[in-house]
Amino acid sequence: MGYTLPMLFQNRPRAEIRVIDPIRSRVPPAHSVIEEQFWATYLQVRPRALKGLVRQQPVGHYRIDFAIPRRRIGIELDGFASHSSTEDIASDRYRQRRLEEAGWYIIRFSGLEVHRNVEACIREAAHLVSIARWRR
Amino acid sequence: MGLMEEEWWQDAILLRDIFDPEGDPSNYTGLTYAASYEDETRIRQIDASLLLLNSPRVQNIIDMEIEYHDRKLEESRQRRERYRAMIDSLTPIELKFWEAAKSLRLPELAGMVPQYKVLDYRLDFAIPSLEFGIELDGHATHSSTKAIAHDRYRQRRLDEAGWYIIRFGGSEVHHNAEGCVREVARVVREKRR
Repeated sequence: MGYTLPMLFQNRPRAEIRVIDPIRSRVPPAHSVIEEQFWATYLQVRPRALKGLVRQQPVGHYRIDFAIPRRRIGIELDGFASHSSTEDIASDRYRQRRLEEAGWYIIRFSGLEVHRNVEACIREAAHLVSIARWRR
Repeated sequence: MGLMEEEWWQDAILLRDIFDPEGDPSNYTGLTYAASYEDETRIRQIDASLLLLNSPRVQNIIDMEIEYHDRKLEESRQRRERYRAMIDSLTPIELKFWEAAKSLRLPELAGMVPQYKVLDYRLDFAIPSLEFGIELDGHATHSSTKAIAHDRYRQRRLDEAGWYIIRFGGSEVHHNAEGCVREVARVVREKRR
């Protein structure tokens, strides 16, 4: 086998220089249990109004759990674990306002609601998306 | 002193009271002083005005005026009391926000009312004409599982009804109430445009 030295180094993975974005890295890893549940049920139900739904849509510094990027509509599932402390509440509200400023409409469900009845949540989201009008 | 003289003296005292309260009534007995033409007209004028004042029509008008002013006073008292009760009912962060809004006096927040009721829900503040709500979420009542669930449900119901709600965390308002008020004003301005 005629390997030359440059050929051997060709496919070697380069050392990655990672800049850790403090805001982005604070976002908890995706796919919590409720999100998995929601996504699985969405794949079963697939309501027409939620066509084009994607997971983990990045918007600026933030990441939205589920989103229809074309219409700038997001769906957020708020678990109790990461939305109940004082700082969480304040940063949530701040985030919400920044997203609304950017023209996004966010539909929010709590972990409890998703846990109790995922399908109802999906139907309600579909209903809200279908009646949503352009804001701002 | 006879009866006639008694009446005469009383009249003199009366005249003294009218023309010269510190003076001597004997000046007005007519023996030493004859009432001048001016005095007579003045007496006639006083009589006429007393008659007018005592007439039922004038009394009626006066009563109506008094009633009107009483009613106004009562209304303003009630308004003051209601305002006081409203201020007392506000939570500390709401009070902070309200005071900041009052001191800034921004034209965008002209129609803002506290504790506005929509769909059985009470919004902390609202501008009803714009269907614009302002919610200040303190940690105490928005952190339990059920509270979070209820919050989200409520938000969706209000969205459905066409209300726009802007939300602030309690600590945001606590640390920078004026900034929050200014942000609300900015959003209202954008929405109006």
